[in-house]
Amino acid sequence: MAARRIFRSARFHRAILGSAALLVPGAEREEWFREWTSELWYLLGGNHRNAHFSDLYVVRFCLGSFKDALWMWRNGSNRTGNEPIRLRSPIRCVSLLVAVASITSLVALREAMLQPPYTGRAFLLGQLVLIAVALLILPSTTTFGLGEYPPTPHSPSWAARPRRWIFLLVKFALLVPIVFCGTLDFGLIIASTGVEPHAMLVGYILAFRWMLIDQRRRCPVCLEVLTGPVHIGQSSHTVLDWYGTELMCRKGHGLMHVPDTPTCSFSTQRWIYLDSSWRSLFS
Amino acid sequence: MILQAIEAGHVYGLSIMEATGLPSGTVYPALRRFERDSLIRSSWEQQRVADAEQRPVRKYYKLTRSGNSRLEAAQQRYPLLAGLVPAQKGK
Repeated sequence: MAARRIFRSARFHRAILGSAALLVPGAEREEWFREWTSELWYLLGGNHRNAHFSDLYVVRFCLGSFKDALWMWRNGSNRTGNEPIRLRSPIRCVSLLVAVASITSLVALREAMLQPPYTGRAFLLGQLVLIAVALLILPSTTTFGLGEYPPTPHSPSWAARPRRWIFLLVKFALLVPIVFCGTLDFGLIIASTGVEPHAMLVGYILAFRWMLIDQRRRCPVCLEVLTGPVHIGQSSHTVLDWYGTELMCRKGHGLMHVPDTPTCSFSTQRWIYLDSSWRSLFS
Repeated sequence: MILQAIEAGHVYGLSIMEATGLPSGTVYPALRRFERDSLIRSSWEQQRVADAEQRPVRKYYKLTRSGNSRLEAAQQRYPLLAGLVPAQKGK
């Protein structure tokens, strides 16, 4: 009976919508929440309970808001325009990671947490297992693929090509101590032991996920974050052509085509190198 | 189906859900996508209209010219589409 009363409570429904609203970008959240709560009001029949809709239908309606909020989170108008300036440049990104790694490590060292049982071969082996498990779970959250970069006469020289892989490795190397020491610091803050392995696993998954997503949205030449997203095409053109989002490098190195729906002809994001004649448009 | 529902006079989310039988988690993201692709246009009804009837304002959706032509193309391809969605009363 109590559960049924909760299911019928408008406060419960609004709490579901409110939770989903947290996913919606801030600029659009108010209007999004306003539309859903308005529709909920009508669904509930205003001041008089609408018997036309069952309690389960109302709850399902509210739970559907998560799917909508997720769409807004992925495609909201300020989604690609709100990239923090400090992360756009690869040097600033690495500098920030170095700073975070230093702070978390210093705190962990100061609190003498890098002592047994947090040292030793067995602990190191445990960490490697945790990282391996995180890498196994990672594909369920994001793909390992970094996109297609077909070589053209305008591709960077062989000497410059490993730069993006080096950048990826540096991020990986910095994220591991950030997660490791950060989790130990976190355990210290909440004054609890035993949560570290679980928190570390979650931390590694989230960190590696960010690392791959960040890598995919960067220019392979200058490693700056791509900008100027433009939506191209319609879903009905899928058979004949790709549709999705086009991003560009601000320095004019090329364009990234990210398909909305992967197809056999366009399964992943694809980079198009631009020759130097385009540079004048970007300068 | 959703474009057909809007054309049939189901101009807000809940009505589209009822007309198409689709869940909210399908209808609302589709509406956002159509709006992004300029197939539909949304607008809030006037506050004073809703206030007069002591109810919250509703967000209405309307087909754009591009949406209309897209719907016509879909209707030519799927002639039974119109029969799937009942027209709104008074339409």
